[in-house]
Amino acid sequence: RIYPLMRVTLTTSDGASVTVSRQLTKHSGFIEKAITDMAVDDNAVPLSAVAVDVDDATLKLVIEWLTEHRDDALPYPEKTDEERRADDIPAWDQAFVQKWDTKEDQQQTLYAVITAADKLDIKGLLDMTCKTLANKINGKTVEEMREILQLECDFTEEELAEIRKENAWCEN
Amino acid sequence: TLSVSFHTFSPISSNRFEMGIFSLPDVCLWEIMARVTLQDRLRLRLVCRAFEKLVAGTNAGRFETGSIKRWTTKIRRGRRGSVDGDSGVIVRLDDLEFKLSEDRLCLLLQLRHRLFTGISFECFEMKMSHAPFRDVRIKVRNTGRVSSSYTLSSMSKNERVCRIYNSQQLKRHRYCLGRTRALIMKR
Repeated sequence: RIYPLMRVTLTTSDGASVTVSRQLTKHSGFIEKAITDMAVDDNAVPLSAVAVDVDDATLKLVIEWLTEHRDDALPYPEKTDEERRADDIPAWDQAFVQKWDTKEDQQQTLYAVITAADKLDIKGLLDMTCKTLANKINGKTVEEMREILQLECDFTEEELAEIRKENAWCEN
Repeated sequence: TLSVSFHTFSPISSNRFEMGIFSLPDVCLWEIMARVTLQDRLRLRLVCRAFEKLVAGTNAGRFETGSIKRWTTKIRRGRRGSVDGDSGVIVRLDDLEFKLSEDRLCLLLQLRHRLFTGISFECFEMKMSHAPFRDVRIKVRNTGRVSSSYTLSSMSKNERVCRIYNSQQLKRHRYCLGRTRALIMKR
């Protein structure tokens, strides 16, 4: 049974609670499953043992995105696992992600939202954030990629030379 | 009101600064890797060992068009015409084009498993019955979808492909060249 006016209280891993309408949580396959799997009566039913790590700051971003996309059609359109387009991010979503660029830990925020979207099974948000990360990488030099992804090179010079040699067929 | 609790096992808030791309679930990494270009895959191999492994273990995604065609230079021999000189293949992936000599082609075939587990095309054309491909194992798998346009071209030179192709009734097929896949559609 669907209760469109029902409100759902989300309690984050760091103890904060946010109450949102079912209209938003219906986009989360995880929360919907948790709700519908239970024998829901007319009134409140507690849900428990939901093991997802989402902190308050991340949940607020997720809810902001869900609020903007509350009227999106469900189910989310099926796509093949080989879909590779990344240049079709809606303008609002682009602006939403760009706001994080002012934060010191923008990359960490992106990782946290990707993880939350995956755990909560919010396909639209997962799709958009993965495209955003792919766009950050596309066209960058190796050094820029390391800087963006905050990774250290663990190859020896000899190993790097060998990989460059293997790559040469394409780079020319 | 329903209550959903996100229980604390390892709160992101305390670990956020330890998160890295390889903390992401595998499905996210696959999504991301299917959206980077081939040149980016080559560069990502150089970032670190973990990325070299990730590049080799993920699908390169779907390209609109792909083709492999043979090229040969002609050497003029006086009035009696010409003979074949250097030869190789031209590999095209959407708007990328690589002109490869015979030895480079063999290198490409050897190295493809380090660049991706698979690559797919909306339309794929192979104009050759070329030795390196002649013995490649080809699988046909029906994708269940019907598409509208493609000309088989001189694909028929490869008898094995042709035989499998003609034995199918549906319009669209997925071919696997080793671990390299191609979608081919009948008009």
